Amino acid sequence: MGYFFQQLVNGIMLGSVYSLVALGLTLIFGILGVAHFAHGHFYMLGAFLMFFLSVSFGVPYWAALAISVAFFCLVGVGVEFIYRPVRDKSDVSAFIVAIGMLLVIEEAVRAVWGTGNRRITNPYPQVLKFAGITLQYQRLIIIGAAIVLIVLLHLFIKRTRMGSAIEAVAQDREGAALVGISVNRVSILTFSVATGLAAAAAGLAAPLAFIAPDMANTLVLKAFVIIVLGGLGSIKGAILGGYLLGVMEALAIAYISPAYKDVWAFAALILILAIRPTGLFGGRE
Amino acid sequence: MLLEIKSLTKKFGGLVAVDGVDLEVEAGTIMGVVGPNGAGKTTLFNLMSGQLKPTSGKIKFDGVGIDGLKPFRIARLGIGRTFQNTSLFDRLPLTVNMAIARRMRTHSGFFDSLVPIREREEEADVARRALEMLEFVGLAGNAESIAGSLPQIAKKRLAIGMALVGEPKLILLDEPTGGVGGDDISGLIELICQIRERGVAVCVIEHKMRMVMGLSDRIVVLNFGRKIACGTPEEVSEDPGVIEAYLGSGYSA
Amino acid sequence: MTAENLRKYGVFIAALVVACLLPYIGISKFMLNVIIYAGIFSIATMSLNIIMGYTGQVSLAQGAFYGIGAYGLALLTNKAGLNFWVAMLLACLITALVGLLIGLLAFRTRGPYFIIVTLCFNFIVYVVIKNWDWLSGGVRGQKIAGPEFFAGRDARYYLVLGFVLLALFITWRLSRSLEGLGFMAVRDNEPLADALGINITYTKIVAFMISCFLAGLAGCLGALHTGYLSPSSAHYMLSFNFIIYLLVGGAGTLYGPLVGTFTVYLALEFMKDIGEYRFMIFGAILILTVIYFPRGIVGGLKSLRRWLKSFRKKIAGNKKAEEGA
Ligand SMILES: Nc1ncnc2c1ncn2[C@@H]1O[C@H](COP(=O)(O)OP(=O)(O)OP(=O)(O)O)[C@@H](O)[C@H]1O
Ligand SMILES: [Mg+2]
Repeated sequence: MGYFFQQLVNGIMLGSVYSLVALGLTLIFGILGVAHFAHGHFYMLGAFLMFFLSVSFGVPYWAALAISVAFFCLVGVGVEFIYRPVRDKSDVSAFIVAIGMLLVIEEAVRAVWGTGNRRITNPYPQVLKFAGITLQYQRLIIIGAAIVLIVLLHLFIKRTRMGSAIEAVAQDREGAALVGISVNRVSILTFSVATGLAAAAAGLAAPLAFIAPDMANTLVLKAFVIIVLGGLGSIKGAILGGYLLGVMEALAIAYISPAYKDVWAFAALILILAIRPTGLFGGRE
Repeated sequence: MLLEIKSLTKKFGGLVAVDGVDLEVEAGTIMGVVGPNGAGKTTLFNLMSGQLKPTSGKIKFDGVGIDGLKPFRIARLGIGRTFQNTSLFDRLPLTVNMAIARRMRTHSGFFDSLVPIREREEEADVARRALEMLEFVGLAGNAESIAGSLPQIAKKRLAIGMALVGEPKLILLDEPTGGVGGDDISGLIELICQIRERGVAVCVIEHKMRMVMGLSDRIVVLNFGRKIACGTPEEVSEDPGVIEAYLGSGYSA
Repeated sequence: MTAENLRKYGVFIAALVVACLLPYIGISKFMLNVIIYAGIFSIATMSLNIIMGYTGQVSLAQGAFYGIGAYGLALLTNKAGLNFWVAMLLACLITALVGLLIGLLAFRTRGPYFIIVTLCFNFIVYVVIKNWDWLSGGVRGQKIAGPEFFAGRDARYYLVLGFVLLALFITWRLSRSLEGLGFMAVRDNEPLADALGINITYTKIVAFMISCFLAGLAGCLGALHTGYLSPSSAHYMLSFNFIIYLLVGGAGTLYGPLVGTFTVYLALEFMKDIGEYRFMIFGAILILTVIYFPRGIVGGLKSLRRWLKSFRKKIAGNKKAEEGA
């Protein structure tokens, strides 16, 4: 029972990271129809920035996290400009731009930091023990912080004008343009928020992860699985899907086989799409 | 009867776009379909040619039940159609557009393309028919132009030709004169009459009342998805319900 | 041969003659090796061209099919002990069959969903090959030996050349056949093709099976040439590479895959000196290509030729008008 509970917490922690990354991706995809395949690489960059700040400069953990998120909100604006020329072209164009971006980022990071794994010191190495379970504080922090971020995003979207513009465009791009919402501004905002979220996820998970140039390669694919299953553009779908996948994966690793841990999600996706070609919750193309 | 529709209904959520419509089309005749915007005309066509599945009701074409069949099956059974927004293969030349439209009547597959024996015969036949049809719709002079570069009227003509080249028994024309200037319309009317002379039945959606009256053998009037009148042009034009529907929504005959 | 034919096929024939003489014009071993790989990858890119360039379905599973062909060949020769050529044909057929099964599932989706489904499939194949030790030799990989005759590099070069020509021939025939018309109809306008009596799912699956057969063929040749197989020959990065080659060369054109693969692959080989930075340059070029030359090199040349033609016509027209005045 203790073992199961521990795996469950692991799953929820993993799910927190997935949710934050998938959230950004679903916003971008739902709003702009851009398959932003380089999204995971901004997560990876986020982790490296954390490494750079806290190890090379000794910036305290939370300060480093705040700097990193703010910085990547700005980076997101730049990313939007790269995509803008292909935004209204075919699916492939944006996808190829993403691949180009991904290559540039990955090699740039390799050139600067090399291929090896890096670690940053865990700011909260203490463990919490009760009922035969040991929990690292950092895991609880990841889970808690992710919830806070999700709630903040929810408030931003529901309570502010800018936020509700995002939702309006995500649900119906043409309709939103008709009621006078500037798609360009929403687009910039979306990329900024999404990239910031990826950096936040990376910063939160960084103390527990190996930081390497290829750390996010399967992450982005999983995020795509999540948003396809959750329905492209659906915020709720991305959050639920993220936690679901995280928990499923943790349990699969624990009880089935760690070698195939990445496969289950993808196999499930193929099967589910074969039955429901527009995703579990998605109605529109 | 070539086409028999029985209490056909299509619902989109709460909206009933086509509501219990009965309709019959005789071989070799022209049926005009009229009604205000949003009356359900296009939806009716989409049900007949398989783009949409009916919520309930039956469609029988040439003795075969076709409701719920996929569009390509219905096309092969002999219903051709054009779309309201004049859909074409915009990047391809006219001859290729025509050849694609004829493709369903050919049998050559992948292996025939590698060893072109049957393929050569069929290709020659397709090319001949494509040219013939381009001539029929009056586009023989533009045979090698790119479809997307044509003026609107030529696009409409090409779309009609593509619907015809597969030798259907019935074609559905969704607003063939939409967005076409006055002088070109009489040419299109003539073309539609020539289609009837080939023995092909025509269903045509049309907003210009005078034109429909002159062209059609029978007319069906839809309003809010319901059939409110059906008959010869004379009968329909005297129907009080029709007059009210049209005057009521600001239309004039 | 008429003058017009000569002009039309002149470049092709000249290129073919050069290709045939290549091993004898003092080319280095290293260079010939690079060219053989480029040839093999160009077959894989041609396979992608059929499903993506002509049928409009962006498959990110070509790397998996490349791997399935390669491992299929290895299994059939090493484990089943079949004759090499029989094994090769069977491996390609098996790849096409897997394509059929995946196509039946994946073509229920379209657009971005299809891209992601195929990518996921590629990922699964990669992980399975990496972990299923009995089947694949796992990360250790396995050796593969072709017929004695193809032990020499030159012989393998001509083998690859032959298959490149075969793949070109298939693309060429398809692009101007009735079957190919159906592909292009599906690519350009699905609803219209459907209304015109073209069975879309069937068309896509036929295109996909042909495509997978060719990808499998490329995999077999790759395995033969390298003589050794590791899971990286089913990696999804391969799928990305093929897409890049195709887009740079020009999707939906006959020579695009060939031109694109050779351009990019050779350029990357020559840039090896500058180390990993070349991928950065390459990524940047990729972005610029998609934005400014969406039709690739061959597509771009085609447009240029058409433009020149109309330009010449215009000048001729102007001259006539001047003379008339
Ligand atoms: N796919 C759909 N989903 C939801 N509602 C639809 C759909 N297609 C049509 N409708 C609705 O059904 C009704 C009938 O539409 P339809 O296009 O058949 O009208 P129409 O008679 O062709 O009009 P028009 O003259 O403007 O072409 C309209 O209210 C329309 O909004
Ligand atoms: Mg309509």
